[in-house]
Amino acid sequence: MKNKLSTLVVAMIPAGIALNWVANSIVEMLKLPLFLNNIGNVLNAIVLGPWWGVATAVLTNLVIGLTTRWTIIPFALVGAVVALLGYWFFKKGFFKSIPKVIAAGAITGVIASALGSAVAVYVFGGFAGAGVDILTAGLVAMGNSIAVSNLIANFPGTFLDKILTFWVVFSILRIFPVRFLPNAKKIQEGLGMNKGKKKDDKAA
Amino acid sequence: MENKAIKVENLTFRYPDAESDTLKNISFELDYGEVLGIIGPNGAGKTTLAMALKGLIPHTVDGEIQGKIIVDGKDVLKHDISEQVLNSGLVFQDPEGQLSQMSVEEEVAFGLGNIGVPRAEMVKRIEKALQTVGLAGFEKRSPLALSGGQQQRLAIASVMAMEPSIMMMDEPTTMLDPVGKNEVFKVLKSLKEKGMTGVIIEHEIERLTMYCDKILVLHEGESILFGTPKEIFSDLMLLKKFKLRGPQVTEVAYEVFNDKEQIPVVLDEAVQSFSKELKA
Amino acid sequence: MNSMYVQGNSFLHQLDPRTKILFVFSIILFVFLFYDPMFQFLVTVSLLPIVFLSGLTTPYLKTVKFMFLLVFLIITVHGLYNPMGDVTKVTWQLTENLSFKHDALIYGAVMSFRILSIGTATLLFVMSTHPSDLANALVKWKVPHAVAFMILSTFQLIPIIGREAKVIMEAQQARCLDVKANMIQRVKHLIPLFAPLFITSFMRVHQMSQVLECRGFSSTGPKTSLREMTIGFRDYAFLTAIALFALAAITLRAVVGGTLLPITDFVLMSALIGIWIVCSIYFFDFLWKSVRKKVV
Repeated sequence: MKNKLSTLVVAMIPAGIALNWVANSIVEMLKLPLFLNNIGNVLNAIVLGPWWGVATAVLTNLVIGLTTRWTIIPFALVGAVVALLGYWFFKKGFFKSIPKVIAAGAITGVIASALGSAVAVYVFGGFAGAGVDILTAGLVAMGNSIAVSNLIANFPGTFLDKILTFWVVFSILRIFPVRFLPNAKKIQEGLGMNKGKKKDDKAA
Repeated sequence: MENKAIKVENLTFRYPDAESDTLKNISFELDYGEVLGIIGPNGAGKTTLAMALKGLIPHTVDGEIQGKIIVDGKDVLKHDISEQVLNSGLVFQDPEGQLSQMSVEEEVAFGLGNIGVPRAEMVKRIEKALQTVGLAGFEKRSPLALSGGQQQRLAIASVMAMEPSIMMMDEPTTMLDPVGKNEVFKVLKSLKEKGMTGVIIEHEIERLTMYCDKILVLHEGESILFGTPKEIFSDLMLLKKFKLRGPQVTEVAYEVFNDKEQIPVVLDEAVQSFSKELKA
Repeated sequence: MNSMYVQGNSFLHQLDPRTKILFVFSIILFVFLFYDPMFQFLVTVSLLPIVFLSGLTTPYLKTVKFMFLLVFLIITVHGLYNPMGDVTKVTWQLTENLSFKHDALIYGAVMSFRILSIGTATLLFVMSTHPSDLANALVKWKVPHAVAFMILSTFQLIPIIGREAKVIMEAQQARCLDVKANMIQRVKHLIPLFAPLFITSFMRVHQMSQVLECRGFSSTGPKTSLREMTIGFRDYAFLTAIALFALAAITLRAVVGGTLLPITDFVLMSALIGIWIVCSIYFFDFLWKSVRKKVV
């Protein structure tokens, strides 16, 4: 059974990376002001375990760094922390109802945006090589410090994004066919749906 | 007894939480150099049987398994799959889902690299395998840029290059268009001519009769018929009982000939039988 | 999906990926050793001949564009507003209360050229190294075989899952999912779009894990590779050169300190104006191209 987990993990992490990427392009197509580029990290953290979520985050930024823009690589730290928080909130029973999921996402959003700004300030002097930089520059010109400007410019997007990331992962795991999930029982317990409902899912 | 390619004894399998057994008390034997075709309606347990023969059941899929499976002299239930790569190889149904590398040659090289085949040998095997499936000259292409039929032939080459004693294929043509199907069947025929030992799950009965030495008919997890194509398909009444049909030529001949011996299962035979009949 | 790899046969292309990784790291080391815009500038400029000789000029100029926007913002915004150091030392007074300060400009310039030189070195590496060779190099460095596989197979998986997403999107649109509805509605659409995508991806993952089993992925014992990699004379020569530079740089740092020459206003102004000029060239090029597109 050890083997089963390892090749499953090996196959699942690239899928997590690809989902991060594809989710990002879907929200772009829907013209939503979101990224959802942590969705695979959170999913893998919950399904495979926290450190596999971190691995997904790091490899995502590495692959995007190698294919599109290298400046994204330091922000792997943010993705990794989001994965860990996702797992932690799942473990603490926050994935049992929508209000709790939103609360968990909100807390994660605050931490992620603070961390993101810290990385941007330390590594790139407050910018990140993205369109939102112009807003940051404008806020600096209005008399704010660079760190504060970066935080203000990035906060609304990141905050909303993490809430929706958690909500999407929660909603999908709940309707997921059991036979595709490793550790299905544990996950359903974490989702608060192990009371008799399970049998119906399986039949479907 | 020792030199059977495949020996299955009283194989029974049940998926976790399933209501009934998916495979029920299946037994059969296959000699080296023979190709076994497995047919049966959807849900008969064909794929499950293939997975059990390869060892994916029970090593990667949970469930209750009973009985004995010996493939190429190895007890499948007792050895891990990684110890069986030289005994049997499996081609899956979905062509694209089997491919993971960035070029055709690297795709074939992937399995070889995993089992530590030295580079010089690797190059030779890649060339030979791609030649056999008709993909020579495609070495540097991306697998994603190939057609479905080409992708499936690449998957066959990738398994073949590892030189397993027995090739297994789970509906290798089901997801292909007619052109792709033809391409893959051509490869299968040439493999048969080269003396491959194999197991093929297939819907196209006409094609199966061309290169199968034995046919196993599955129905609701039970092995209801096992024998040569001639034995199986000449018994059309029994096939009909299980909602299966025989090859078209057989169906036609069945109406014409009374003598069971005369009933053909492949086209060439049919031509002979009919011309004999007409002369008489 | 393609990485930024550009096929070629130059000196750089023929180097072992491991040599090139060490090269990138040494550039990072160089630019962090000193706090001197002249030095960072020299590092950046000295990389440009390598770009040219490797035949990567056109793709390099194309991809380096976004770095210039970043660098432009950094040097301009920091120079004007960063309150670090001595605020009274003004380099360029624009208006009564808007001026480029000396210390802040140093910071901006150092940051800018750091980003440009690290970026250039990274692009040189990525553009001259096939992903399979990178994976191979990682394996040689004892990075688990599985990690190398994950990186490589991602390149194949992104276009596959992307295509599936497109099919699902079209199918759901055919079932009256309105992509132009209001924001809340569009957010709600995420679930019918993502659920099938996740499920097909999981099915794919299951099959891939079985394929991996069948291809001997979990076999213990040594792994081999089709791609040959040998560290040759070229690599040793290149590595020796890097090592000599590194040695010289570290000695210099120890003896002279983080700043090599006094930083004059002239140096800072040249850095600022230089970056502005390059940025405006890119900007006008962009304008010219979009105008031409409209006309044609």
